[in-house]
Amino acid sequence: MRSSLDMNQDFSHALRALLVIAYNQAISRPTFKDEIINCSTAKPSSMLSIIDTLVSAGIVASRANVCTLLRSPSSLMLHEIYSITTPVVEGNSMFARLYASLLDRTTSAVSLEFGDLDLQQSLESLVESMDRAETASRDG
Amino acid sequence: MGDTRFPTALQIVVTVAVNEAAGIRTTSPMLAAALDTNPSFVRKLVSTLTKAGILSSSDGASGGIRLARGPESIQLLELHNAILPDQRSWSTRETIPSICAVTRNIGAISGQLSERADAAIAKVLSGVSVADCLKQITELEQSRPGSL
Repeated sequence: MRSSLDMNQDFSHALRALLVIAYNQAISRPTFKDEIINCSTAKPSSMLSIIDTLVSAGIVASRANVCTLLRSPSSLMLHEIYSITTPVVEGNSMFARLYASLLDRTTSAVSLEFGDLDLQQSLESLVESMDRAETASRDG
Repeated sequence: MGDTRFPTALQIVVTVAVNEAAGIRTTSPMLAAALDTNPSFVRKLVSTLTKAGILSSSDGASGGIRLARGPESIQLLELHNAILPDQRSWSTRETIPSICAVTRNIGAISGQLSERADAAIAKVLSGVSVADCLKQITELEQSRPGSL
């Protein structure tokens, strides 16, 4: 059974992986799998599993250890990434079914909350943070 | 392995509620056996839920674990906050090595998304009570093949 309702760290790791790829593509640099693994706090096996999930979903291509986005960042919605990385509850007990329905409701609520957010917006926020940090470092 | 405290705590509370409705006494060993989990883990969660005013427990031959209040007055958000206080969805670890532009700057983005996700989840959990869970369990039981 999936653990806590709000501990979907896979989404956080997937977002990190996608931002690394999107940022590298924006500056015309290849993204090696090792870079994605090193940019995360997840175990290497977990990150490889997340990359596989993104490949299976047709979001990322992985050839010769280099990952690329198959879609433009502006067409990649965060709720889509959240749904892809949210595991389903296993088991057929009464409680497993009750918990599955609760998970469905919380997943739908988060997906709705992320409704209009896409990867491009997250990338722009990231670049803004980088600019601010650079300015602060130069001025300070 | 992920954090199973919340689903286990919820299962404990729902089991106590179902047993109470059926007039059955609930004990920690019974819960540990029913949930197929470690008795000390169950005792810890029961202790936390008791301190939070969700469960009450008493010793003796007629003792056991009960709901401290009516099931309609216990919201799942209260239960969640008792078990996982101040937990953020995607807390950014301070120990992440700043090895690339993303790791150096992702904290702010994760923080904003986490706040929005937490608020959405809290809204759902505040709208569900233990009584709602009992009702759903009853409906699931009635819809089971072979039930009347």
